[in-house]
Amino acid sequence: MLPDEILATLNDRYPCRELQIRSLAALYHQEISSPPTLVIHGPDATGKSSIVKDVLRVSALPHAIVDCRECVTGRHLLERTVASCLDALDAYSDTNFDTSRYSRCENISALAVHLQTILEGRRQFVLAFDGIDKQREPPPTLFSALARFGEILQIPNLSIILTVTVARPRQLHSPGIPHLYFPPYTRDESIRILGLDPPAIFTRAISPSMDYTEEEALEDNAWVWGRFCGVVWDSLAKGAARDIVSFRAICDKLWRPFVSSIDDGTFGTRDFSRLMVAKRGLFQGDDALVDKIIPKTAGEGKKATSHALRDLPYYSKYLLCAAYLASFNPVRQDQVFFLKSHEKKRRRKGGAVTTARASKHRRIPRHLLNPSPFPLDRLLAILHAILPDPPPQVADIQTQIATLTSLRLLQRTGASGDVLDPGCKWRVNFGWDYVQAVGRNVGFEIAEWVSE
Amino acid sequence: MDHEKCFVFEPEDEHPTKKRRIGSDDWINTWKLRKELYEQFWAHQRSKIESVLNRANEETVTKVLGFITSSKAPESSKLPAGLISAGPNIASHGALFRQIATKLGAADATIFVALTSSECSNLKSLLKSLIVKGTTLGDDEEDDAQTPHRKGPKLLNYDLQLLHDHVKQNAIETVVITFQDTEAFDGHVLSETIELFGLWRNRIPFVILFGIATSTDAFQDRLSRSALRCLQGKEFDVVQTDDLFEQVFLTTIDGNERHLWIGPELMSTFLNRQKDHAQNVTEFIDALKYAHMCHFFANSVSILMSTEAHGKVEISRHLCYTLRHLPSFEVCVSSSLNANNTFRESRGFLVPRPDRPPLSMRHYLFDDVALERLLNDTMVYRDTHSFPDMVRALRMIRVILSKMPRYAHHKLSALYTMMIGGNLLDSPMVKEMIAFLKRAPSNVLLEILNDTIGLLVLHQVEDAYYFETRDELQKLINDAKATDAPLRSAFDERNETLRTTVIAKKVELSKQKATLSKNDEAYSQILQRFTARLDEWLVMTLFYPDELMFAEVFIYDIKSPYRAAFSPKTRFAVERALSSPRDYLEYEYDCYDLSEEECEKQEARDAALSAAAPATAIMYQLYLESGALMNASDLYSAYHAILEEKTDDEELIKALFQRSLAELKYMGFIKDTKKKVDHVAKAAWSGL
Repeated sequence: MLPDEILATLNDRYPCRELQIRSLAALYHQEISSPPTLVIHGPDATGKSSIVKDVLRVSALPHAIVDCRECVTGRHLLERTVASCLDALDAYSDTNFDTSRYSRCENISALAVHLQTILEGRRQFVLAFDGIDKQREPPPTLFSALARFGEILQIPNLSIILTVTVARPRQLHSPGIPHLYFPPYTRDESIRILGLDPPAIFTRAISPSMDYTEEEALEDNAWVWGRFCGVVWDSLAKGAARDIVSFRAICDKLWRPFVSSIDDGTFGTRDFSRLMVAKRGLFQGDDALVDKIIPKTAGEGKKATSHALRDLPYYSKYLLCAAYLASFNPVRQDQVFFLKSHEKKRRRKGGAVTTARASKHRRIPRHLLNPSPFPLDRLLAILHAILPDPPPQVADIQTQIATLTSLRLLQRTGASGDVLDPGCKWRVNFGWDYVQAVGRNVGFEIAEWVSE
Repeated sequence: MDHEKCFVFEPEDEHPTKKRRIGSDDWINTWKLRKELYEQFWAHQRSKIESVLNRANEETVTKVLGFITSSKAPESSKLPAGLISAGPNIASHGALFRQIATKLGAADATIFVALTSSECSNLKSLLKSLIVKGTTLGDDEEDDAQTPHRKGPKLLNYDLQLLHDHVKQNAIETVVITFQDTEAFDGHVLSETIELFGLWRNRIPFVILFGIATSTDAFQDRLSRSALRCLQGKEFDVVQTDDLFEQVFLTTIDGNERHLWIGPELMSTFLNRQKDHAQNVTEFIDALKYAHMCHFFANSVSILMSTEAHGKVEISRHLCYTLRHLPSFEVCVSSSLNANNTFRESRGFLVPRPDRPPLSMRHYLFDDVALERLLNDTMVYRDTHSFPDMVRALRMIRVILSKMPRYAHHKLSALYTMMIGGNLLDSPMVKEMIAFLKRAPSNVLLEILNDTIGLLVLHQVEDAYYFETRDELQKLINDAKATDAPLRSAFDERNETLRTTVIAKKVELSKQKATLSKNDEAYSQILQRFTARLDEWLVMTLFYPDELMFAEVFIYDIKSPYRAAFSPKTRFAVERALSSPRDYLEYEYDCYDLSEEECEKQEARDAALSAAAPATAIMYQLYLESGALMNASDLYSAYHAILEEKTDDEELIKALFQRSLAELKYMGFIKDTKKKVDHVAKAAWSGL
């Protein structure tokens, strides 16, 4: 076992993980031999990777950690593994390896051979694969092979750690492999961890003339922050952000707006309940939960759409409307909607008859379904039908279709990559809200043309 | 001849002698000169336009560069991302990103990599091209020092470790990666890339720029949540196409140099196309270039545009003849004859030169030298006075209109089109503007005056009147400082009250003017003087192109070449050629047994259906008559029935049938269908 004081520092660093730290420290130790394979599993943000890293560091065992998420292919992972093993051994001893021997590592067997030669005659070596279930294009036998390295290789001194989110013992194809579970933090644990470093309430420096000392400020920070975290957990994080990272992100996001009233002096630091009532709006919406690239400020969303709308030419807007109608209206109703002579019939329709029929088979509203593909001529025909004046028969219309395609507002579907294929079909790539805004922009009310 | 639509001209051995007024020699001789003129004029315009375009992006580019520099210090673990909303005009994105690239290329310790969607179909190829581009940029300068002296096995070519080593070796502080056509990238690939960059962020200082054509919201919808969490962005707006278009347009008509003017018809075609089809400045620039080419290459009088030609090149007899027959000249002559024997001297389109008093009509009609001098003087006067004044008047109208809520967004280009079409001065808009001015309070007038003075300075025109008026007004406002409200004009609605009087059970309404304060009265006088002067000046300055002498020399206004070159009717052309082949090809067709009227009515259709018509045209006619699905056997029997007249050869008919069907298929009219084996499906409907 590691000395108690080292364990204590680790426990300080990673609170609420005593059991896991103790188990790991016991398993990976200089004097005793480690298990050939260990699976560490637990949800995101439970400290798996960091604790493994730090325990291995303090244990002073030669080790290599491979971050699987950084590896783009299976081969990349294998070569990265070999390279990091070499690097790790380099750091521990002065032996110079002939690296040219290990330049290629195409498959798992090659990895086995390489590891065998590299670790020949060494005492102990730990190889940790971090997040191996996130590996892109993994070789099919990756899991089972890694789990059985200890059996098939003649290297009893190699121990492998696999870090995964969900343990699937059947994937390993061998029984009796030890698992270590990192449970998600509970409410109290989360709040305790967050409470370790409370942010400051006041943005300004405390002037010495005021009757308020640094210590008092720190105490107030911790007090308000602790209660605030509890409120955030109960209102938002419990349902939508249970892991510690996103919980922390939400708390950070809401902290400034929450304490701004204390900062400007409206409330005292201990008026938590009054502050809560005043700022309850913060915890009622889900704004904090939605990830945005740009930190949201008021009225920004609207500006972006109108900007995009303003720059589209007149016929492009109508093309978008026509494409939406072509995608979401069934073909057999085209005559009803777009043929001028059918107008009377259409007026007559509707009313009680349709509702009775609709209730019989409950159909999903079409605009909630996927857009269906349509041929190009149907789009053009609908465009002719909905335009107030017939469009000129010029190539500009086709150019605009091409532009809309490169903007990915229209999409070409179908397996054939042939551009000239007459059977090629199209599909829209935007929703009801967008097309409604586009239509209104040119004074076209699309709701009148969409079939229910 | 009646039954024939076209006449095939078969020239005999000797050419018929045709009278040609414009000597062909002249036409050919001036060709080289006209080409030079075109190059000179267009180069001038282009350089002006380019400077405007460069200036337009300058602001955005500076902001983006500032963002990149500020994100050098990694404050958070998130990736700094600049979202450049460049609008749906894809053609202009390239210029913007090139500008950023050139600016960044000059910066030290920065790698700039531009990725395009074509080379990034998946994560691996994206990383490969990123590493190739990122690591070779530095290699050009110091190639030998670059060999990686890293220990260990060779790395795969998509391993970001390579880039990391490069960054470490060259002490690079920022790696800027741009996705120019973000929409074209697969959302999944993009998310994966961002996540991967996020993992490497602590080792490689990435900064990402996205060029966004639709909207940031649409972009965010395409990314995965975990990718969104990696990014921390800032949005940059590019100058709107509309505004940029106005700036470019203004720069093309501005300035004291001589240049080609676009006439009302063509200009409104330009503007309509801008609005309806392509909101795109490059389109306009191309159109303008084409107009220049058409004017100089196809119009022999365009040679007179030359600023030096009058001194050096003799205007030949032919050209003088042409000049005298120009419609604009004829109009001027006849109108002046109605007045008195000299040209009318108003609106600045005639030559007020004190040393050369206008000659009588007869001189210009018979004396080539006098005509030449007249032309030269007119052109020079226009370059230096009429046109700059006209542009200034337009801008001034624009300034005043911008104060009126109803016309606040009226564009200068629209004003210009109205002006050159001769509709501006009498338009209700200008009348409303004058009425608005009469009622304007003092603060609005002061703003207008300030803007006008700004225009004067910009155009380097000296007019003391405006300065004096402003000073006078300023003094008046300062005097009336006691009340904060602006001074009101006598015509202001607030100075009027409606009075109701009841006399003998009859209600009478009467308007009554409130008595004006002394200051208001003084202000009203200033305002009235200003308005009257402006009105007068506008009448003097804004001209009709029809009234301009020699307008054909410097105004180009023909739509058809522009239309043919820029918006061809491709589909219509194919359909027309197939449906009425006799308009294009000559073949025998008899309709003797029909009456003349019937013949005309049926002609087009029957001509296409006669056995003599091209095989594909016959097939097309059958195609038009059938429904969405066509039975091949029925089609063949109909086809056979038509071709029977011409030949009995079954084999030949079969071969023609196959060929025409294949041709229709090639042109995309029909396709195979799975619904019925022996049928073909219609894939295109005519008239779309």
